[in-house]
Amino acid sequence: MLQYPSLDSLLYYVNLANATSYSLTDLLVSKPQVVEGSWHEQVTLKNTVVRLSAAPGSPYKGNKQVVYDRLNLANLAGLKGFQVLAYQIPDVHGLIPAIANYTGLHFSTADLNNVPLVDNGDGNLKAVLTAHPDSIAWVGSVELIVKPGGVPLDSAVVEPNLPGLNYPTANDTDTFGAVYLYGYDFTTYFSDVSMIAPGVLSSGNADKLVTALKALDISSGAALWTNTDGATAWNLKGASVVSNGLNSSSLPTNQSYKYVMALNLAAGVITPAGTMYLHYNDPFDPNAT
Amino acid sequence: MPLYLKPSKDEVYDLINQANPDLGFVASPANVNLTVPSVATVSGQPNLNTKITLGAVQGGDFMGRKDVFYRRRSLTSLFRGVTVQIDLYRAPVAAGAVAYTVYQLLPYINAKYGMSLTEDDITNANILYGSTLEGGFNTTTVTVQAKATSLGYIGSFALKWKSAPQDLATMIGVTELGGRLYPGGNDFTAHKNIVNFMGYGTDWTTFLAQYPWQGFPTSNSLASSNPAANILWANQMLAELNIQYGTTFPTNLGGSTLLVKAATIYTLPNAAVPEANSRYFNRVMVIDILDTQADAIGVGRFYHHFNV
Repeated sequence: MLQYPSLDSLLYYVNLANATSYSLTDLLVSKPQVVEGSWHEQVTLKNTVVRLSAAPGSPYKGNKQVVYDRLNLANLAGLKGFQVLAYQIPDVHGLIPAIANYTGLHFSTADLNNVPLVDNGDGNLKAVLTAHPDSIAWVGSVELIVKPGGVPLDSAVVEPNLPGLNYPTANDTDTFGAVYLYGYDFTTYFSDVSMIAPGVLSSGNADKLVTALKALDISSGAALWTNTDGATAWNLKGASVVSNGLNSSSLPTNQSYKYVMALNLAAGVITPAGTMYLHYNDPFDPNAT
Repeated sequence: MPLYLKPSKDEVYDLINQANPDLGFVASPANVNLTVPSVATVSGQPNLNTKITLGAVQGGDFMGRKDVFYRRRSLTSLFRGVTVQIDLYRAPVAAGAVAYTVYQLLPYINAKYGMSLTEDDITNANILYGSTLEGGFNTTTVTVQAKATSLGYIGSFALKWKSAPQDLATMIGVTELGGRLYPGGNDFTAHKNIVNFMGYGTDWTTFLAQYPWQGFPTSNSLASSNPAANILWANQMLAELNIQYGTTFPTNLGGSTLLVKAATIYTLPNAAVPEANSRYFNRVMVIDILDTQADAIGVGRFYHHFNV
């Protein structure tokens, strides 16, 4: 029961040797005392003695002393797998959860002296684990290299609800203008589109864009684009040009086009919604070489 | 940049890091594993529809595991109202044969709609060459389904493939054209005479009737044994040669090989010899003279036009 917490381990061996079934609440354990060679004039190779007393409120009474071995931490040195990673842990007591995570050794704060970790000079830290004299299970000391890492995900991820993976507008029931018009090439209408300045579309320009949209659109709004007061869908009336000109890699646009117009439909128009990008290039000149 | 710049796996790592800026280390595939996503709901968070478990990569920056919740985008929502159509040439095949697969069209979908979908996000499907025509072009519509294991997407969309005129830009892969050469090459520093023009404008009808190419038209070689005819032939081709009877003919006009040179006779007009004068003649006899022939008068091709 090497990897049990100290008291659990002691109790396990008491119960094992005596066919008892004490629990931690049944017994009080004294501070351990060192035994060397003999105890109460009996020769023993064990190194520790404690007195077990019946806990108040338990169904037991009286007390008894037992001898057993506390294990020497020094023997852990160099054992394969006896290593830990930790991040921004200042001292040995802070390291106890990481030691438990990586090795299954369940030290308590009562087992180990709390000292700061020191820089090992190679990007790692060094912890000196020294058993507290009152540790029930451990004696001795060992150095442990602490590599950076091992941040516990369950405590480090403080926000498990991750916002994001948004749609182009806030409302996922919209027809998204940004997606709707992304695939179209308005180059054929260069002379109409390129001349339109930022601001609310004039009625003449809206008519020109309606003509272009009706010609290019192959989707659900193809025949429906209009320039009409009050229409709530496919309506360019009152739409405003946010920008129009050279494309930019900072825009969510298709970089194979040289120019792009960002067009916001009027507030009352909900289909499509959001900003639409009208991509276009310089007009094709079949004689250009 | 595209509307959605990153593959969905990268987006999820970004979400983790953005929502948890104090992780100590930046979460990445090197230090955090992602489980297969599952459908989930979170009370009070109507946008969240997905749960995954983050697991630490062994011996790395992190330890343990953690469940996180986020929203996968619905392809159904994203393409609402949009006819997702890819126009791409396909050489005709039999109806029912595979024209393309969805995965083959994926780069075109991403480019046209600003997406970064990967094969991890959507199921593949065959797009069969159907019999539906639209404006003369074959078209087929299939449903593209998000994989249950996609980290970024749920839902589905209809993908319409339409064949299109073949694009010159992809057809013409060789843009440096060789082969447009004068006979004997374009380097004239040591060039033999080009013979193409010698006798081109001559009507050979009478000559060939009087001095037929030996055995004409079956064996097609000049009568080497008839020096008078040969000299007439040579002067007929180019009067300025002015070869006199008694001149050692074979070596200064094409060599001995020329005299047994095979000729080819074409009926005009003929696509094999578009350069022949089909306006005035209905036959041409063509003799190729190669510059590998050491004592040849030149290089190129004789045309002897005649009528029958």
